[in-house]
Amino acid sequence: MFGYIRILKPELKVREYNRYRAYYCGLCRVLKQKYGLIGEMTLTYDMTFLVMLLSSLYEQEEKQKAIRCEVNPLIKHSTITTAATAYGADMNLLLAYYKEKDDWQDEKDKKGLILSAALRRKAERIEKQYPRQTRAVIQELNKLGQLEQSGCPDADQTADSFGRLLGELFVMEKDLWQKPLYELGFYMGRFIYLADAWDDLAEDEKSGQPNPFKGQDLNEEVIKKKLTADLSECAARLEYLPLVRDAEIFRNIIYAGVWTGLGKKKRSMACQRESV
Amino acid sequence: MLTKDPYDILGVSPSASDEEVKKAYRELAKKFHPDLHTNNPLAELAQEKFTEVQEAYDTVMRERASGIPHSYSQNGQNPYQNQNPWNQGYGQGQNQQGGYYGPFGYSNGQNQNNYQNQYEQRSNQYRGNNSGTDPCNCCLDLWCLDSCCECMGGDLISCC
Repeated sequence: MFGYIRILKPELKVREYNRYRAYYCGLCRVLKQKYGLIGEMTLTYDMTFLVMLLSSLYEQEEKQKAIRCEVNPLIKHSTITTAATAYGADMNLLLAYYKEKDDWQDEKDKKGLILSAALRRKAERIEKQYPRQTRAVIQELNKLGQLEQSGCPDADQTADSFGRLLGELFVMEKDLWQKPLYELGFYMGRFIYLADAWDDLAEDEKSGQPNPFKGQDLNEEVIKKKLTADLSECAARLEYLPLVRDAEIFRNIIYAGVWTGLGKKKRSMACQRESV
Repeated sequence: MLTKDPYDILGVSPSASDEEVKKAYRELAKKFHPDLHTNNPLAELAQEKFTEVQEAYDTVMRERASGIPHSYSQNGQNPYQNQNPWNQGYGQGQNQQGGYYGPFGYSNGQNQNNYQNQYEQRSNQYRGNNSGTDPCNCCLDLWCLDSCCECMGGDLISCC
């Protein structure tokens, strides 16, 4: 489900790409420090976007450090971390726990069972620190589960549920930016859910898994219109926020990068890391 | 509600780019942020100024998002009163003609169209650069233009 909120690398300046990569590696480093190897495996582009967004909005101080990575230990990678990186790492883990639990419950994927069990204790620690976000995740997961069990009668209802989940995670603290941040997260969540549903449609039709687009007369153009509607709402909130630092990276992601993940087979985490 | 022109408050011209408005907002917000004036006798004034700057920013950005030209200072009325895209509660309001009832209350069709138009415009700059056939199309277009120009007695590209 995650991985759609990514950059379009050829359209970034080298300086911008280096910053994005440093934030990505910074999030990876904090995930490893806080949650070990399992935590490191949950790294996503989506949370990298959130970390950069919050760091820019609150103009948080950046700490830079060069580290060696398991993927390629011969080269030192620059990392940038801010106060938002720890928050992003915690939300990343909450989301990963959801994804694995979902995979086990829906598809009886044993990897989901093992990983969700491995992540459970770490997720419980996060639940105590972020009760509002945890409540939203549990509430919306349950709603999603109920909707999916009844065959996803309304695509907007299921997408809204995931949107509310992500919207709540986008609000790090309740302040004057909470509304546009929540709404940005909401529409982004809708986009992610619908894009994932579209990509999984063929497979879900074969396997009998629930999908909100089953039985509908849809083509790429109709889906593109639906997704553009959500992204345009998302972009309006992004443009509203007073983001100065890294604004062009966010624009690259929201106007171009989000379309690059559609229609492609989901890549493994290791592949994603190498491609950044 | 603001009684002054929001652009005057921010210290930028109405023709300033979004980036200039955001930078101006950032500097003023840093200057007047309440956290920086906790032991200051002028703390209350700083808070008022901070709120004024915040409202000015909010007004300018909502105006630009809705596409309604700035006329706030002329008649003192707020043209965005019924078109606020992000201050309405969930589950309120009724669907009016031309609008839609979104999860954040009423949002009129004009806002939705504006956002989609703005999105298309901004994303085009990325699509154009990624098209592998663009140089070919550009060359053909230029050749066609030159041919038409020559037919009418001119010569757009003199070397061919």
